[in-house]
Amino acid sequence: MDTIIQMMLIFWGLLILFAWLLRNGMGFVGDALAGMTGFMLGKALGPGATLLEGRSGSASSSWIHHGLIWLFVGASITFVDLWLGHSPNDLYSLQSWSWNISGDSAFVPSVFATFAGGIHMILIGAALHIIPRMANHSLASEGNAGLMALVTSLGVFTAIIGTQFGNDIGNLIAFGGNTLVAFAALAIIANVLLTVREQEGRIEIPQWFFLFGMIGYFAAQIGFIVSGPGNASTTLWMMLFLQNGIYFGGAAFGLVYYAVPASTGQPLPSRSLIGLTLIGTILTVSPSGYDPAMLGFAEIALGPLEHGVTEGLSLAACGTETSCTGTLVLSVLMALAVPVAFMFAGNVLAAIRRSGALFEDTALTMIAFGALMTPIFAVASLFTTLDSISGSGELATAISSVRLGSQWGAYIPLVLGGVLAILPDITGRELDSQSEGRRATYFLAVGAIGAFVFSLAADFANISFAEAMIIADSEIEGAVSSTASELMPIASVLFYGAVIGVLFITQNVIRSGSTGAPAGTFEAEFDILGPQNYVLAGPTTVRDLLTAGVTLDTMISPEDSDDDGDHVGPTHLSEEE
Amino acid sequence: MEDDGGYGLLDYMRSDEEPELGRTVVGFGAMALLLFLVLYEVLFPGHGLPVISDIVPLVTGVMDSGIWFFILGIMLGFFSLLANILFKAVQD
Repeated sequence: MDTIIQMMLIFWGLLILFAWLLRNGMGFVGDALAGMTGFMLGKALGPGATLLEGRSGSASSSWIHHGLIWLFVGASITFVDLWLGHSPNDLYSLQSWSWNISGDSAFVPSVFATFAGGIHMILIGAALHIIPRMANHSLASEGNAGLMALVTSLGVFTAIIGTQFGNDIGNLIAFGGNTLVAFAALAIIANVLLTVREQEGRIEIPQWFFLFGMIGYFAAQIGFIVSGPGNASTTLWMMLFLQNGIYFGGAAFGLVYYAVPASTGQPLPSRSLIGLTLIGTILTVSPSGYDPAMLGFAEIALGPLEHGVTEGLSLAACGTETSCTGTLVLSVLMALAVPVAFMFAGNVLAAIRRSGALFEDTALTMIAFGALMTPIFAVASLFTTLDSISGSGELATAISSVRLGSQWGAYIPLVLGGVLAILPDITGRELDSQSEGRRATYFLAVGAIGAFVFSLAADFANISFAEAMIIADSEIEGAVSSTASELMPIASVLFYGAVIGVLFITQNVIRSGSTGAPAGTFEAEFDILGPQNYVLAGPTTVRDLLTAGVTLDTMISPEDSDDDGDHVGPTHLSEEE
Repeated sequence: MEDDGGYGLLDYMRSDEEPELGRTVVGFGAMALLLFLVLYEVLFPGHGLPVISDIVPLVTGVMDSGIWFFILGIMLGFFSLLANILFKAVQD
């Protein structure tokens, strides 16, 4: 059987088995496992279990706060990586501290900080809130979950330090750090499954997204190991594709599908589209985020597993003597991931548009931006990924730019917006400043998209330059187009906007813990498509009113009305007026 | 009909979010600084800025790349985060 088909069947089989077990229980075995797991999460840890208080919501809050700080660190290291892309020796002075950071040495730590630290921790934090809330049952072990946030942070920190050694010992340290992250994730999965076990009603779709994401991550790893080292050149990349789609993509979908109705108070327009997104996430293979450079990360994450993979995925081309069934299956599954992105974006954008919260609420604005960009980058990723794995290689230089854009321009705003929307419910505090949050959103959006556009322009300049060299029959190794060398610094400087955006959001969230208004203090002022109130200063025309943004539902009151509170409308230029 | 004070502006064109005076002053200050630098370059072409030009060579070889300015900003941001966390912990 073709390796790709075999891998997909293992992956789907494990997910179906998991879903069946979850729906039907495991009888007396389940009781025994539950008892043992509960013991392992609590008393078996000894004093460690009492290290943190078990206040409801504290674990979720802890994971999210850790995640936000890691995301800022990840954005900063990504900026450094982008800068070193055009000026590889700019940090040579650090060599006096025996710290050799040049070329692409910041890439792997940026992946660890952004994904193993930032996004993973934010998603788990959201899961620890959403799953118990929808199960109508408290988390099985709040103290253990909180403790695991510390373990994960320690693991990510160790992994990043390990990557800076640049030798086998360093790689082993980094692998140790990554193993800590995996162990903590297993404890969280056990915790969550014990919580869902107590759920009386049916499991809701956002919960399925998270559960499939967590189990699917390990199911893809099992598929890779079962397929053996002989097929690793294909299955390693398949594993990364599947983990990316089912865990990072799926959990983000689940988070947003929960966050938007929870924040706006209105249901999403189409329930069937939500279900189709879930099925599509499981059945398709997401092309987003693929980059052969991720091999460096995979090598450290897999540590001692000898796989012998040295390059990106390369599929068999169709010919008279070679079978290309797997290639066709994978290409179709990747192409089918694009409609899933469209279904998700359509549903979410319609809901936000209907709520009138766009450009009013930080979280929903950020979600809307991410949702808008998701299908765009899904199409772009499909082009670059298929071009790369088919061996065509015409867009090979653009693959990193598309990965950067899809991660920071679509995916991260979705996750950040989702978590900001549910944060007041978790911490009991509103965001400290909505206006600062919106400003941060614009910084992030302009920074990420600007960096993507300029980086892509530099890539295409390089592609033209390479073609010109071929025509001129001259090959200069490492040469880059002069246009590209001018555009790349602009891309990296623009990405600094994303760093500032994440910093502002993290500061806002941390401040909200002490100075944010209690949750529910502010009634939504954006539940209609325009201002709720409008103060009329004098006679005017309907045309002027419509130009001012009022809608059929806006309450218009005369200037002398007692209701001087929150209103949208003109103020007097002076007291004499 | 209400007297519009002779401005002739439609209601919706009037500002309802005047910037704070402090921010306005900072904005003008930044522009004045920029103008000063341009004027200095015009009046004393090729001459370094007083005092600053004496300090900068001290860090030549260590911070001779633009990335360090950005890294300083990142460090500032990181420490402001740390300060916020510590403030919150102490306040609790």
